[in-house]
Amino acid sequence: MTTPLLALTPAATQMHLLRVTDGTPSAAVDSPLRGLVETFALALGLRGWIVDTQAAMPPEVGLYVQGRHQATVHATAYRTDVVNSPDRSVLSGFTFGVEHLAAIAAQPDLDPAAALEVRHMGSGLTLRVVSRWVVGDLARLQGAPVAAPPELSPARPLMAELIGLGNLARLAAARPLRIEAPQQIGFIEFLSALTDVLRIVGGWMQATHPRTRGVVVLQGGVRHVGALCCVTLPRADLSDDFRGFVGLLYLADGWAGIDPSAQLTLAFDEPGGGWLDSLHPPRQPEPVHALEELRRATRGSVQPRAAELARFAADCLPWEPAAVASDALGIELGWDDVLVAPGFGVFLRGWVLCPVGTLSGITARFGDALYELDPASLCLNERPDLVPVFPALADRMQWAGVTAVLRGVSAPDLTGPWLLRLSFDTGAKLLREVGKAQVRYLEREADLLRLQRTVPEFHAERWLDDLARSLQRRRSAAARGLHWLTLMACPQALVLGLPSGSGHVALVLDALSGQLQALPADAGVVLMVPASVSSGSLASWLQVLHGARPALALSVCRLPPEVGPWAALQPVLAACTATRFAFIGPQVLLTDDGAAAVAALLAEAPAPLALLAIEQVAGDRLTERFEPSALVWDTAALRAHQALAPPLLGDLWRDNALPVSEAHLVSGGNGRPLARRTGPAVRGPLLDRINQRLCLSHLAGHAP
Amino acid sequence: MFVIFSHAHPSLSKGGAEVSAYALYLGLRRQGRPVAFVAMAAEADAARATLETDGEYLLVFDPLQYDHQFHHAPPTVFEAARQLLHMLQPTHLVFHHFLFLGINTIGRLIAEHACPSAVVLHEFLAICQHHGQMVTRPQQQLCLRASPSACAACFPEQSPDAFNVRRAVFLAVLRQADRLISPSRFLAQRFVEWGVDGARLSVIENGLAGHQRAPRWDPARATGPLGAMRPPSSHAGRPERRQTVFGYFGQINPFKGLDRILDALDQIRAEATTPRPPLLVRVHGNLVPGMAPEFLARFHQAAGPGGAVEYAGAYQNSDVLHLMGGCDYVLMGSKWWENSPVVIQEAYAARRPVIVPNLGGMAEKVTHGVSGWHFAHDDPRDLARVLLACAAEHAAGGRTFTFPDPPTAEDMAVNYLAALRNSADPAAPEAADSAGQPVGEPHLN
Repeated sequence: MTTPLLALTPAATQMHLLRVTDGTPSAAVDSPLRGLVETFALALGLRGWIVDTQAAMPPEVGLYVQGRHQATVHATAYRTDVVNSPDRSVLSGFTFGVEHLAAIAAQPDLDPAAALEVRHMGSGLTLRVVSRWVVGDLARLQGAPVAAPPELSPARPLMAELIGLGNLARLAAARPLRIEAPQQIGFIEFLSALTDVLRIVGGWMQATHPRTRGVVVLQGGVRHVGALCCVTLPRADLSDDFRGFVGLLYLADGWAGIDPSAQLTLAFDEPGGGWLDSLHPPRQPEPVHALEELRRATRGSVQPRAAELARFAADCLPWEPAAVASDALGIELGWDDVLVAPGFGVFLRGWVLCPVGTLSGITARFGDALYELDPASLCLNERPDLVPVFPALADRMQWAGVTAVLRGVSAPDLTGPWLLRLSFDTGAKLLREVGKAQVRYLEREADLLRLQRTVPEFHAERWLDDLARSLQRRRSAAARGLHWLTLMACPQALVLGLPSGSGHVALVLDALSGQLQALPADAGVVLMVPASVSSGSLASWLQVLHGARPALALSVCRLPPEVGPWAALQPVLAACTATRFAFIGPQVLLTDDGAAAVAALLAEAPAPLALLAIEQVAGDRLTERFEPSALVWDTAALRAHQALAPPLLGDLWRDNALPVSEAHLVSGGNGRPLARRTGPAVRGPLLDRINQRLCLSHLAGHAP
Repeated sequence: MFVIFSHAHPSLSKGGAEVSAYALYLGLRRQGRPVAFVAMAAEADAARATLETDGEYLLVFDPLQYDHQFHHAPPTVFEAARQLLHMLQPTHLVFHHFLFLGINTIGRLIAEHACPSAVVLHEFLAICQHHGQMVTRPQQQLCLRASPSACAACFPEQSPDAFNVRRAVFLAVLRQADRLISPSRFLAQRFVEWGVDGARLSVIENGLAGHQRAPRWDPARATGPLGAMRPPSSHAGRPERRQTVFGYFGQINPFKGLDRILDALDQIRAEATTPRPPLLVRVHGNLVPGMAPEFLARFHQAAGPGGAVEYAGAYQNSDVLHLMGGCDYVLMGSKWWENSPVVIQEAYAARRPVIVPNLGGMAEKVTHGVSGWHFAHDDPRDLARVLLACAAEHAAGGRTFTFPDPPTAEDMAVNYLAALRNSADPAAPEAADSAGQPVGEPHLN
């Protein structure tokens, strides 16, 4: 039994090198080495990673063909997806450059079918490969029409890539788009409905254009974000500057809002990225016919994602029954957790016992919704607890435990069967139904603790950003379901997020009743009331507020469960038509001095963000801090901020990525605070870690 | 109309705050002043209340709507109080405690009425959320100073920030009142350290409603069953018994320290050279529900045959002087600071010396060696020493103690009127209380 390699990511720990004995490779589980050859392209060279967990120096690897040594390199790159090391000192990424590959291609005596092998120079162990590359591939690459730059990380599955690009495209959707004739680079000829979020798309465009990009689809003035992944091919009806293309067009919020018979425009998410128009009307072939076009385009293609595109699209169609029954294979399996995160994917934890071979892939299909394995997430671990139940398979326990993340944004479809398709390295495949009662949903941030049990330390995973966005989208959607008890328009609004405890509510509203006279005449008050506050106690307080200022424009809305006031702020301001507002969060009490300051700041429209000092306890003394729990701002500026801000979990967290450095910081001074904190803003250490990670990733300009 | 708000009515509970509030009411009434007594009553209890005079009112509230963290009452309480005051047309407002009426209601009522107002401080509930005892939890150690972080250590489910807000809200309302009144200097000092303006704080002793100045035990009152059973002296009628009787009076709850008294008795028995202890602790009072079973078992064993404890059960307040007269000493064992215990005043009225821990309001009200004795707080060994010394001295003929005369309800009324007159007119001469101490002093700065 091996000791878990704590410095490596879960997926990396499984990547044992291979020992070749009598021509038969087997996993060298007793070796401290782990590695994988991932990428093979002329523009990139041959790339991969290797780690020796017991050596201080980066390992050395050699490239071999037919047992003949071709080149040697060291690991020189730090890989966050391989090593969990805060000091970035463990170098694991290696590259055999184009010159090495060219030297191999220049050797005419090599067998075109001979495989390219990478070996650890010290032990002679061979690295696993994502795909078997042979000498003949070099010639095919040389003959490829376009030497494309690297577009995708091969370790990231197609669906995850589309989701990630779609998220990034949200930034583009928030910016002005320039649709000008010189930038039109092609046309969309057909669209075929594959799933609720995917269409097979075909048409033509400029030959040099990248094949996988985030996109913004426009129709009727409405923007939809998504991503396109396609292959290109020469077509007799096009000039040399253009290529035909077929691929998958993904829309993050689904295709329900798109009229397939009306014209649409597809803009690429990059400066000067060009755009495509659909022919009017575009063809809408049946999915099986469109899939056939996709298969034709990808057949024999060496373009990135070509084979994956066809396979994935085929998976979206109804599945054929498994060729071999699991009983015949002798496979036993069970699932401890099947956790669906709508808009993100499925988390699986369980066990698979296979007498021969090891689990290598999982795909889920819940009705018409398809979920594809993120290969980097597949983690196999020991399950000694199964030995008493399956004593005959005791020798297979070492890799029986399974944790995996499957990606797909569609909600599970209740109408069809829910299936898992498992693939094994022996080539065997197994189709097994999942009981719907066994599946649980991760819909709220509070459920993240449950996820942590399924995927420990998930906040370090690279899909965290996607997960946070999916949760944020659900929260935003829920926030649109506000229930207004009373709604009155006002140009300026003091918006109070009431706390959930009745005692704190009394504290806030009692103070407010004494502060109303200080507010400007045209300012209204909006109370955002949590679901936990009883109507009876609220009604009596509303009476007090009306008594204190009879002409007050008082609006009251109930927040849906799990929706905090910050998430609901935009729809609230839109409903009451306020163009400038003050926001006081649920854990803050506005003082009388604070109310006077709010009144003055509301009158300063338009003005930059103003943060009010919040008095809070720090050890044995009182300090002032500036947080988004007490601020005055313009509604338009808030809207722009929330479109561009990183996704954050929880309602209010630190500065919520607000432009605090540019903000006007307003302090009462002389021991007269403008606001006082009544409770902690951060709701738990897990959310704290997650949000910190999301903010840092956003600052670094890329998703984790 | 002089309007007194009380957090409870004495016909429903007999705490020091409501008893003293009612004493003030009676004192003003006996002076012929128009006065109203407005007591808070929970909905479920209101029907049990007995209103003896036509100036008494109940303000019924829903306890579930009351916030015990920030002591905010729902708006309905304020509305009811406002309507009542509209009818009563107050010339003075005195708030005996804020509990159930709500600190927010007090602030609003003061703001709406231009008449002089006073808030009377009872125990430390404004400062300390732990029943106002200034005793830490769960360790039950005496707390010397409240602070947001210290309070959050006692209540880890709440943040220090919440305690900071709590303090700010309380101080803001207390600043609105013309005068703050504390029955003890010790309590006043604590509030000044906490942030209250000492210049507006007066120390006025509570009056004893049912007694006249320098009362004595009256044999004619010994007609009830307890009176018939308990002679005025522990020795009278039982010449064969030479034990010294120490009387414990009041509720038996975890803060009153009866367990420490039992510890001291165990100490005495362990070191005794004779089989019969030279002293007896007679316990008067009701056991509050929820006392620890271990304590109850120990208490009942001590009160059994051959024990040094005699449990006399609950008592009527009207009988207290008679019952105290049946004891040689009155004994207190409180584990918290106390404010101005009525038991001490009653003991003085019954001309009985009082044995108290050297703590807070008790140490202030009992002069060591003059009106009683102090023992080291939470030290059963020292209490045993004091009890044995008292028993020996008593057996040898006793000593002459000097007792202050506790103020009557009328004294209390005079002092309150003077304090409120001073707050309305700072140039007015100060009145003097029954003990000759200037009212309104010390102004603790």
